[in-house]
Amino acid sequence: MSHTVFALLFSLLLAPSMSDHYSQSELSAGAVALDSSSPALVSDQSDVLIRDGWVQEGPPSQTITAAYMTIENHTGADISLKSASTEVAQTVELHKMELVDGIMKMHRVETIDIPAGGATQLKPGGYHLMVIGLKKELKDGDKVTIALEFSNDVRKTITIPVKPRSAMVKEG
Amino acid sequence: MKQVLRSFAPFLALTFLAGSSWTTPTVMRLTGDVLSRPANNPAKDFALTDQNDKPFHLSQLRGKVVFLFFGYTHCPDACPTTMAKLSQVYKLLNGDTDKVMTLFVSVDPGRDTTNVLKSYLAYFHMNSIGLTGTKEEIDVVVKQYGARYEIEDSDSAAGYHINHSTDLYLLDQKGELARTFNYSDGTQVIADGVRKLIH
Repeated sequence: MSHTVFALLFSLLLAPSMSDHYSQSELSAGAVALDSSSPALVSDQSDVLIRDGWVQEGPPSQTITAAYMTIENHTGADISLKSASTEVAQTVELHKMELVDGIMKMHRVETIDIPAGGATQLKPGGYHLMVIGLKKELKDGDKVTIALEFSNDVRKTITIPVKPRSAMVKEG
Repeated sequence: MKQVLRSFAPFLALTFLAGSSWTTPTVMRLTGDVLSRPANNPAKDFALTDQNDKPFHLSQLRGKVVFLFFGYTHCPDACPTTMAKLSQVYKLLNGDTDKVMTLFVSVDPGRDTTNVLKSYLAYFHMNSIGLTGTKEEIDVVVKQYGARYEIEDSDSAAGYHINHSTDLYLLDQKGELARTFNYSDGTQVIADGVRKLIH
């Protein structure tokens, strides 16, 4: 693993500005957990970074919601997100929205590809994790832990904040 | 069970398929094209049922500027985005918010009961009315505004989903269609459209 990438990962994990609302644990297969005192070697497969994750807060009557994030692939190989799960819901699926001629269409997809050296955004109007069968109401400020399983035996567990959709709508 | 029903549009056939994991007895799949958009001059009135189970007529909102759009509460993306956008538009309108009413017309009568609509709208904290009815009643309004939707069955654990048009209709104080906003139109553009009608 290159020093540059390691430094990036290290700074992401430790940056105080991020730690208030965003945390991420490194659970790649075969990886050694990082902490401030004993930075350790990680396999190339751990060079998958998740940024800007959030889960949509919803009306209390809702049993579904969506989760969004940017997945960066700093490995030398194409990878794909295969599945996700969380303890706060029965099921998580991968879905894609597409605006076609003014109609918002939704499809379930098997995988979400992240090219080598590239990034894929899960964002409103595009891909999202469909969180189905919520076991509890998610409120602004809550944190949700989601396990992500990628190809090449890469596994990540992220903890991301719940935010209202209104916080993500820009004025303009 | 499989039966074919004809919609109000003669060219259109809806196939109703059973087997949903939801409590609704049927899942509908639109096998033809989605509902067409014939209306440029929608009638000034329609009748549906509001979130309090009361009969609703558009004509009761005469004197108010009205936002109208079609959606469903299980919508994970477009509908909450539009609601969140409108909630910001209300903030931009400041003191004029009581002159504006938002109508959320559900195209999912199978799941969007009046109670579900009530809870959904309460979450967004703005002047809004949730409307439902029988599928036939809803389709009359959909056609009136030239909106489109298709209910698609799915292998998702979330059950069927609905692909739907995302246009936002702005009606003037007489109930006439003043303007249609695209999904990509921002909050300022929408607020300006309202201001033109109010001032």
